[in-house]
Amino acid sequence: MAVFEKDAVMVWLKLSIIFALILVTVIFIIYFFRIYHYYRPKPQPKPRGDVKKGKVYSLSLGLLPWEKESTRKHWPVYIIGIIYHSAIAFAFFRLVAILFNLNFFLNFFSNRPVMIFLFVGTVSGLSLFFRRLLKAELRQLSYPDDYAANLLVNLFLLNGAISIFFQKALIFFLLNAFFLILYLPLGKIRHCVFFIPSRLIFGQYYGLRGVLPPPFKKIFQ
Amino acid sequence: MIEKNWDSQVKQALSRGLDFERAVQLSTCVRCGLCAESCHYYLVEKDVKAIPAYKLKIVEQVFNYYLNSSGRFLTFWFGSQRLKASTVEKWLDILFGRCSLCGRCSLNCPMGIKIHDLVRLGRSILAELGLVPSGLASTISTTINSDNNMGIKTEEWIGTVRWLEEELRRELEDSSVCLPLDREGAKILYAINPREAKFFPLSLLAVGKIFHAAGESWTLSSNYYDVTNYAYFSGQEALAAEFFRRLEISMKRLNCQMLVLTECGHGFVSARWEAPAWLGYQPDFEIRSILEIMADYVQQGKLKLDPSRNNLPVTLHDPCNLVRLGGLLNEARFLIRQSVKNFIEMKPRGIENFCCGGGGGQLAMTEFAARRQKAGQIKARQIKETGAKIVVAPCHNCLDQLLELNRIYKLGVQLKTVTEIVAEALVF
Ligand code: SF4
Ligand code: SF4
Repeated sequence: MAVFEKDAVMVWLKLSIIFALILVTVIFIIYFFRIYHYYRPKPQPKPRGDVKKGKVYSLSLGLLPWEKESTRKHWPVYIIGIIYHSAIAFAFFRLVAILFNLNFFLNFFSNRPVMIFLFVGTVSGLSLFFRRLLKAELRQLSYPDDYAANLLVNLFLLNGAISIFFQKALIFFLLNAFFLILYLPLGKIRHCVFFIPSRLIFGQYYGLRGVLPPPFKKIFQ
Repeated sequence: MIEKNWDSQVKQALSRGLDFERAVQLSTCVRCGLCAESCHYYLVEKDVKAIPAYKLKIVEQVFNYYLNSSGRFLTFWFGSQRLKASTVEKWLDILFGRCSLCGRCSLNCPMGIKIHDLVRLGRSILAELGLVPSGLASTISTTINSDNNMGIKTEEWIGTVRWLEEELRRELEDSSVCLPLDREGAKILYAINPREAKFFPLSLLAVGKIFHAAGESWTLSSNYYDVTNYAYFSGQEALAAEFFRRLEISMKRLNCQMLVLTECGHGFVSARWEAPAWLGYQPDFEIRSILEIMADYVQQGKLKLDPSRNNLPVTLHDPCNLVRLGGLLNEARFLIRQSVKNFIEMKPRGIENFCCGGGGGQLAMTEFAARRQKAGQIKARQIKETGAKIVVAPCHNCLDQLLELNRIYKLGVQLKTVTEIVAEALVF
């Protein structure tokens, strides 16, 4: 790493990424404020269920594949999705470790198993790309952004993997990260921010009505 | 359709219908397509336009165009669209004609998007533009102009109640039994679906028997008794609030403590769950379904039921609005198990049960009748697979659709409400 610390290009690149991260955070905050403008306090009906339990379920057991017919019927897509998103998280942590010289974390995210995992993540991402491309209905449902976002992330994972063993490739990983971060708020990748609020809204709605969480026995049926 | 500039109306409708939660959810779809097979329309049509995410997508495009500042750039890349004549036609055909607002897709979306709610937002924009399909619009206007969705006149309704009262007395051989009308100070006001008064009075007779057996203090109202709320389907929330307020007026006039709703899915969702947001306040009386009331009676030992009176195999259709969106997961099951000898569950059941296809105002929109009947194939198959001879559906709207499916798909079943099944098992 020391070699790169001295490299002015790398320093500028790191600073640019940090700037991009700050910019994107500000954009998301502004976006949230804009839509928060639509917030209307609503009188809550008398609950039948438990809102808190609904929210907890929505972000925990409710994410398990057997809890929904859609994921029960599509196990491979679910597993691929989990691998893909976990790999993205690993690559992102690696990026953060590089940006802030967190040596302990950097060592943790810079070894052979992580490299293999990032490769597997890339392949998972590509399989989702081809799923979208080859299934006529999914194609009709998609925008160019869906493909672009997927490819940008796949490249991020691939560069993340390569840069673990070829330090010279680190510049590509950082460049890739820079563009990826700037792209975040524009298209579908923003779901990384909206996922949790959306699941909380879901949990609140079904929790209040006593629909979810399902009775204990159903979970283990 | 003639090209018009709808921009200001769309913006107005969007800002009226949008809230923070809807705006968040409109920004979340990843177009994974996992919701496709949860929709009965998609299962029978295999058409992309029937995929829930597609229905969401066409609403999201308009949201992006009008309210998302980045939405006007690279519209083809990120997907945004101005509402123009061709979009409106597509919206009408898809949002009204290919969705029964059953919420099955919402439960199956990994991102937790309440797709049915956003379809309703789209419908509300169409309603703002005066574009509610004629069948639904005419049911709504009948409700506005009379006091119920079937235009039943007050004298006609009073006459029906008197006639049913006579029937009840004859059947129970008890001249003291009554179907109370406008009884001030009764604990319960019972709101009905006008369909019962007009075509299926047996369910009213059944409820009379049950209240009598439980020794309940209850009443019917001579006006403003309609539990249905078709403005819920068209997304016209101000009007929906107005319709609910009518029930509130009857509650106040008769000084009752609890509003009990007949077996009606969307009526329950409207009054129990949606009304406070429409009204801006929580009504100061309790709102319950007759299913909850009957389940309480059985648990409290107020009703004695003999299951051997119902020997035929019985299955249960879970109305989407009552179960998946309403939370009444167990009441109907509990009551049926107490009232029949042979109960067979559908597959899937409960919150995962399929929509009958008649919800979302579909039964009123004759323009989409063929599609509705086709979408009902899934329910027809489920019923056939149970081998049941009686299908119980605690929703009058569902019952209408099931009656049609029974005829079209030659199911050869009897259709009943839970109240009827319980009344048949009742031991005095
Ligand atoms: S399942 Fe949810 S996220 Fe996936 S396409 Fe359907 S609506 Fe969008
Ligand atoms: S609400 Fe029901 S009918 Fe409408 S899209 Fe979802 S599953 Fe299909």
